Amino acid sequence: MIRFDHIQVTFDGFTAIQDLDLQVSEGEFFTLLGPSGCGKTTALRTLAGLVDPSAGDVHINGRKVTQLPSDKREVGMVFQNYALFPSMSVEENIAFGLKVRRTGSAERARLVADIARRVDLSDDQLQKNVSELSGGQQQRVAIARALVLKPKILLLDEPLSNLDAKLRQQLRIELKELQAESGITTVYVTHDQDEALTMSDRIAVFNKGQVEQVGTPQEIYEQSSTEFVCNFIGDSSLLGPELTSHLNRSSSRTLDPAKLSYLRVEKAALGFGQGDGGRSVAVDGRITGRNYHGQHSRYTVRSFDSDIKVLVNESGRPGHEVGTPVQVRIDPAQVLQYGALA
Amino acid sequence: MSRSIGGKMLRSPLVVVTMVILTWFTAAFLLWPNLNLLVETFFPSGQFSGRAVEKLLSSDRAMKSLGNSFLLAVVLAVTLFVMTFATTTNHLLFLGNAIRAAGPQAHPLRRFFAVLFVMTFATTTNHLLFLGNAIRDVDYQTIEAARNMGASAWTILRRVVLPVLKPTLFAVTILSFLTGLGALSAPQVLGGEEFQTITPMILTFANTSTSRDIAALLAIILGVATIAMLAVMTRLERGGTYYSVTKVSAPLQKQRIASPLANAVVHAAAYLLFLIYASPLVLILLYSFMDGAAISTGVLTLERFTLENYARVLSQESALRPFIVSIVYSGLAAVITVGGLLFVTRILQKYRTRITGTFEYLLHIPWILPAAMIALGLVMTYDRPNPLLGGLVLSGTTVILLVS
Ligand SMILES: Nc1ncnc2c1ncn2[C@@H]1O[C@H](COP(=O)(O)OP(=O)(O)OP(=O)(O)O)[C@@H](O)[C@H]1O
Ligand SMILES: [Mg+2]
Repeated sequence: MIRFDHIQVTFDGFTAIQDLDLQVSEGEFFTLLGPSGCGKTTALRTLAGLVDPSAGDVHINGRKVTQLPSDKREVGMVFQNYALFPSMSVEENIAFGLKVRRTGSAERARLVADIARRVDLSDDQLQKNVSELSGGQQQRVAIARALVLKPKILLLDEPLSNLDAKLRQQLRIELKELQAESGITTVYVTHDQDEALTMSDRIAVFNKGQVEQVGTPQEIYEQSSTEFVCNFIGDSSLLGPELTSHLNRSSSRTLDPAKLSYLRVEKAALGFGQGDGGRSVAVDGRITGRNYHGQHSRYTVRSFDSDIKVLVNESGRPGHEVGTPVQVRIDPAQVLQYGALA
Repeated sequence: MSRSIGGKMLRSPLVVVTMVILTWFTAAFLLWPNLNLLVETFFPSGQFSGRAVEKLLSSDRAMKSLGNSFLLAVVLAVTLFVMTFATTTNHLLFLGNAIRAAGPQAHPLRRFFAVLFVMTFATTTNHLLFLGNAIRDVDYQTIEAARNMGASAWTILRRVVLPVLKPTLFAVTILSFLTGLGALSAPQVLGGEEFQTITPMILTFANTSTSRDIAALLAIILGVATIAMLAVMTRLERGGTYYSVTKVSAPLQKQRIASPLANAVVHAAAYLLFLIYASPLVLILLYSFMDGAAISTGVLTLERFTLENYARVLSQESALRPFIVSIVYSGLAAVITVGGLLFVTRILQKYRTRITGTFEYLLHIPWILPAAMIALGLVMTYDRPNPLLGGLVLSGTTVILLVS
């Protein structure tokens, strides 16, 4: 459906995207994930025809569209700041594209009412000026304005980043539902790993203008292919060579102590039980820190040359004091290894 | 609430003194002269009289200057509108037309166009600053959004960009209208006999006591027109200022112009504009190094180059004096005004009551009313002893200059 064919984008000598090669399938919810300034927006704008690549081609539906102007590509775009027209009412904003296409006024009214219902905008809100709406409502207007033109592809640039945490959670679900029911191919940009993991069919993790890994949320999380991806997604502890050597002594999987070894916080557990059929190795340590998070507590345990982060669901039971000697269970099969230790 | 603030205000001696001085200042210099102007014009001998109006209507010169001023104002506003429009859009067609329309080669209306031309360039610099700011506030992503939805450049300009600029554009247009209306130096220097406008006319009429009432009436007309335009502007501004809806708006980006020819032409036009703006300064600088003969013939040659003008101005007291006097006056006036206003504003800000609110409006009078009207009001009021100033005669003294 969409193909970035060795795309490179430069701005006055600065290379924002280095050699982007990606494919997105029909109906897919595809996410570009990465830290600020890594080139996500630039990639999206290249797809929308708002940025000219300095090398490479963009294909949509098997057709090369690199030279095609933005409006001929049948992509609807929701901008990072929504880019609503401040001088128009909500209704005029949504109807703008239809007017440009000279859709008849009766048909226009019907389409606008239709899409407004789908994104939950009331008749009352339609008559307001866009500046009178809350951030969440503005976001709905921006989506309605893009969808009313029935694009083949929907591009969303951090549409939830300006909203508060609660609303973000709720809109995540709504957006995903909207996408699922219309089946529209969607390219979604975010720097929020939670958002990417919960909403996407597939994710491309960006770093400094390059793609580090492409895969399903589970692949990205469980089998992070680079150290950057491992660190960017989720929360991990870095294990030192003394600890990994100790793990090797009592396990069938042999880790390379000369490599960088990471362990996700939820893969470590406190205590002596053998809940996982004997695959895990217990190491001795002492609690050096505790952070209470309500649902769970996060402990830091010093063991050999490493600080191991451990999540514990205490469900009301009193927690462990700092300084208490404990054992941490680690399954060596869950340890992710990258590159060489400096 | 307001009562308690008022009470607190009255307990501070500093504030009381300031308020008294402020009241005296406002009454003596801002309110009374202008009221007096009205009274003297319409009630010269205690009774209403339309004589000033009749005299004005029968004076050919005065009527013509009125017409000229309004014409200049309207055309200046329109030209500016077109100019700013041209700058906004880089639309070459408009730019070319504006320059051609303002050019002095349009023969039958040569005088008029010469004035218009100079005024356009003198005023656009300020106004382009305003407009430049407004343009920078346009969220570039809205333009991209419109482009993504298939809007043409013209539609984007008309429906996305201009509505956002509209309030500023109107303000700028009206301000230039006012500048045209109150124009003093350009018509005086370039207009000659055939092209008289109000403000120089007021000065001419005010010099003879018999026609002073005409001058007063002209000043009043100028004042009323100014206030009317400002009222319109305030209405428009309240009607719709569009702030970008979002917290983070993307700055406007320079457009790459696809056709190399168009690109070259736009750049050439930009440099031409720059040259036109810069040329008066350069010429004045050049002429300041020439002797009298060169200036009157307009021929610039290297052998006529001289430092004598500077030597004369700097060495002779008679030549140096006006120069120093004007510097000293403007310096003093600026210091007094800024210092005084800062102090007063602080007090007005601190104690917000209806009284201080009124003062705030009254203090805007010099800004709102044309300078000519205020000056005339002051002169006519204080050329005889007046109780407000302790019976002093102020006319022709240095104090009145400072006040202005
Ligand atoms: N028009 C431009 N001119 C020059 N440099 C640009 C331009 N647009 C983007 N860049 C640069 O390209 C890089 C990538 O920018 P981009 O906007 O794609 O980042 P992003 O991943 O979307 O970041 P964010 O999460 O902060 O939105 C940045 O370093 C930015 O400074
Ligand atoms: Mg971005």
